[in-house]
Amino acid sequence: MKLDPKSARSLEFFTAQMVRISRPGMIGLAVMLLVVFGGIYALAVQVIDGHIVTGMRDNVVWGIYIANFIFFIGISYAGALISGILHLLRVPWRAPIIRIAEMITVISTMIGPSYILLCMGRLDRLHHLALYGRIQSPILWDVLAISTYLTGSIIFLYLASIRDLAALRTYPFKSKWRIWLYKFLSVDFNGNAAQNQYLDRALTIMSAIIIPLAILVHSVLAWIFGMTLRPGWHSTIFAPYFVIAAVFSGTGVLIIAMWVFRKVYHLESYITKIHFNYLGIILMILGALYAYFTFSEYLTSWYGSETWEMEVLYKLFDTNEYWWWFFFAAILGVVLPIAVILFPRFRTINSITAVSVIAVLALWVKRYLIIIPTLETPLLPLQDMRPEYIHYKVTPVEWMLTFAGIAMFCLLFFLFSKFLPIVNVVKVTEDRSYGALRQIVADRIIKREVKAFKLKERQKFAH
Amino acid sequence: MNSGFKHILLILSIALISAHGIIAQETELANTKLQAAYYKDQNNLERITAKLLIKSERYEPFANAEVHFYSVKDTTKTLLKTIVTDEKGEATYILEPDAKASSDSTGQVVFAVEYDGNPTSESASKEIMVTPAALKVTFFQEDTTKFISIEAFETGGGDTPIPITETEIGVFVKRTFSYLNIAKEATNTEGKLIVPFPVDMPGDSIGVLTIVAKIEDHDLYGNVEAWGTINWARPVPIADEARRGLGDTDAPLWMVYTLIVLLSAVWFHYAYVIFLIIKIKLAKHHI
Amino acid sequence: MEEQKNDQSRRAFFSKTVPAAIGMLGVSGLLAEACKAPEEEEEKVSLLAPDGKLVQVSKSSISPQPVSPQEAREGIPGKKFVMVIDLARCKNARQCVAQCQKMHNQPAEDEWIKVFLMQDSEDTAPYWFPKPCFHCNQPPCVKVCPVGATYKRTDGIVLVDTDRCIGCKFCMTACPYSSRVFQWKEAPKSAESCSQPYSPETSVPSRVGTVGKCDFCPDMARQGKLPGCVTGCPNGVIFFGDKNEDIVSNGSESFRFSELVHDRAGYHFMAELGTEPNVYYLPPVDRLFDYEKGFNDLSDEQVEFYKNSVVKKH
Repeated sequence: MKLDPKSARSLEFFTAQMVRISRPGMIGLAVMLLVVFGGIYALAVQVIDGHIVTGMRDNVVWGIYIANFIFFIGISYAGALISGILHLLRVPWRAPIIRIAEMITVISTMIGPSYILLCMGRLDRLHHLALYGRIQSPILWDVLAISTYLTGSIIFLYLASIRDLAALRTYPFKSKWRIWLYKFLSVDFNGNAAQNQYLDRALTIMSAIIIPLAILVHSVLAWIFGMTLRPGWHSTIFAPYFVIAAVFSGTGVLIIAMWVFRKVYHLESYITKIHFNYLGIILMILGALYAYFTFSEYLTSWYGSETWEMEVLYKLFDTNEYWWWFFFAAILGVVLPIAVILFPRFRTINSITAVSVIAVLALWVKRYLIIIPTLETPLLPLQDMRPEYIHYKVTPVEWMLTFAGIAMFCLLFFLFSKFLPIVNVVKVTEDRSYGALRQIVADRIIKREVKAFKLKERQKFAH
Repeated sequence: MNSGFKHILLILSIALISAHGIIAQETELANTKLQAAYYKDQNNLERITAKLLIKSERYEPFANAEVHFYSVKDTTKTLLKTIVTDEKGEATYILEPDAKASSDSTGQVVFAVEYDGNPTSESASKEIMVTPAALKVTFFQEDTTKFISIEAFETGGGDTPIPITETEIGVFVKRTFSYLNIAKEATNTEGKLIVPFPVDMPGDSIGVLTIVAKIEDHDLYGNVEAWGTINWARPVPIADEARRGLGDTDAPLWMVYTLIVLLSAVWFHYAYVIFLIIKIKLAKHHI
Repeated sequence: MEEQKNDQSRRAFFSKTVPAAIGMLGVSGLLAEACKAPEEEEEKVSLLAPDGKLVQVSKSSISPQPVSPQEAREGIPGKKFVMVIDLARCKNARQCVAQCQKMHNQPAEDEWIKVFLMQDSEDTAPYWFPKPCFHCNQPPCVKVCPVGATYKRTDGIVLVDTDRCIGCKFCMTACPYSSRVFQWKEAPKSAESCSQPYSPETSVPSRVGTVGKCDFCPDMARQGKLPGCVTGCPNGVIFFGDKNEDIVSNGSESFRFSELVHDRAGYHFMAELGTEPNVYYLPPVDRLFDYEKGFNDLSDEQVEFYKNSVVKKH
């Protein structure tokens, strides 16, 4: 594919960053690898000694692993919904951020399910799902939905990268494997009319299909809990509640990733305040929706005051138990982002990122609060003298594996960014030559002018 | 007196007391007790079950002890068998044909069960006298009412059986885990007992029911049992047709169809997109 | 105390050596069952033959051989097993628990039948509540199992096949009655339980990383014997039987099932959950024992704990 000089220049900018690793980058890489190895060690301990090394026991049979699983599947929404919807609606400012969003989707959809594996007592029998799978079980729905979703996300990321891969093919890399790989993956794309037409069609199909798929994946996940006869879980609104919570946290992670890459790769001219502003507003709206669901969920269970629902509620509102976590997860983590983004004068790149961090952390805690207090409230009295059977406590093994997952997420992101430009280079430069962003501003000016003109006309007519 | 001396005294006295305990144990033999019962079942299989108990705080089963079974005839004892008790303290001797024949002049069969004792426990013995008897269960119908008829008779006295009169007989329905008692009445002067058939009792899939008659712990006859079967009970159909449901092996059909439709819709599009990618590759020479 | 415990576990955790990390590559090898073939010569037992002679046979040949996997999945034809628990007779003797653990070769911390102290309201009297698996006709655990490792049989029994179980624990969250127990670590196994071939009907030997629960002792039922908890109970609290035969027995007494639950107002625990249990309770009226009798063998600490946990006070 032939690039215009402008595109070639920006490609140069990214390839330079792709082939070298800075000193801070090396340190970061080392730290991440160390944490991942710590996780492998913890996994070995868990495999050898059995699940006794976790804090899980007969009442709290699912712990932090499942919280992490929901969390990672949740943030995968960044790519699916944000980039899918933005693509379908042809939102002009999307180009510099959709690559990041799609990468978040693929990576977190790979890491999330591994937490299910960690929670499984018999990893060596994973193939039983294929041998004896029962489609009545929401776990099987989950397996099918997530694998379909991951496949779709990878296809979507790949399709959206073909133009860049074709551009990279023309670049004189030193390493042979890069040249060979880019050549292989770019499927001889040279930007002719037919190829462009096929590619756009494929992209539209995938962006349309990934949205219902993403909704289904998180609904199925919510149903794993919703199908059980447990207080705090057996709720009809769980599926939409999970979906909204997922997009909320996904958007938060997207903002954080944008901030990090903007700083690390000096993308100030690509990822601008406009992006933070728009995504911040989306985050605010989602936060409000999430707050609405949270309120409905707890209001109905409190008002109905069924014995076991009340048990769980009391635990959440008890200062000796979960109140401060609940306050952070359901109140502070939502009110703060909304309050900061609501007022234009508080909106800065840093403030929006800061409240995103709070929102993401709050949503992780929320997942923990969905799982643990319910499991600590069985329907029969907890008459067990063993304290570890009454209260769940995260063990070092579980913490190490949790951090290993986060480190793995960063590590994979880092590696991806060394293989593909973190910004959709070709699209961005195309948009720039068309002046897409300037177009938005121009459109607004024209609209305002037209309005003023119409008003003047009307006034004239009235006279 | 210093404290060291005190300690020695204390230890000595403890030693003395415990030594006394040991000696006492050696000299006093533990009490033992033997229980024995005679059983006869439907197939005329006879057995004697002995239960040996030993007293520590209270009587408990005495396992792994040898118990001798004797046949007694006119004061002469013949050893039939020596059997070791099981963990319940029980030993069961199943009568061999020659042992059965040895009834004495009164028509009674006499058995003795003995435990010889050992250095720590007493010996024990028990004698049981049995008058051989049998039961017969038959069924008959009068008008629409169904009855069970039980006959009880002594078998020892030659060819003509002697009816057992005024003797309590238990009537039971045989079930998997136990017998359910439906009547407990004495036989009439002809040695017969007639009770109504429990028609509301569920039987097997075609209504077959087993009725058991028993003489239990009788001074003369011991335990005698017999049974009969008939298909007069309420049939319980075995309805185990394969179902499709959430808890079954096979899923409900709507679920199968929904899953197939959803998955194939998505994967068809994936296949189409891959087809488009191939078309992109093929279209490289287009302008 | 707790501090010390934590410290220990932490130390234990960090004392694992790095080779462990390498070792994990052979995951499946590590998960091999702890049971090894018994090295000693097979134990002989004396058996009474029908002719009254004692014969020497190897022990494994008389312990009843488990049924085929297919039969263990289908159930005993023509049976519908039910249990009736008479709450008026229970005094927390805990012999049902002990007998069950003995029968299934379990460590003391795994209880397939549990005895709870219940109190429905602060104004009503407490009572002891033995609770096995309810073997529901609409079992939530069976619905959610992704691999069919837990299944409902034609005779009403819900079993777990620990050869198939993947340890996802979904059934444990789905069961509203806390009936299921997970094998968090490799339990020490006796030679006896190891020599026994595994069957879902005996649930022995247990397997690490899988779920276990009360199985209604179908292996005993096949021999016409009552489950361990029934025979273990000194007070005849638990009745077991076949609904098709319309009879339940506690070993010494037998009743027609329909009459018993009718006359004594039998009920389902938490019937509103729609699980249709096969365990019926007879209400704790005219109780034989004061509930405090159940505290006899317990420490003061345990008694205090029980008393605090009955009625939820808020």
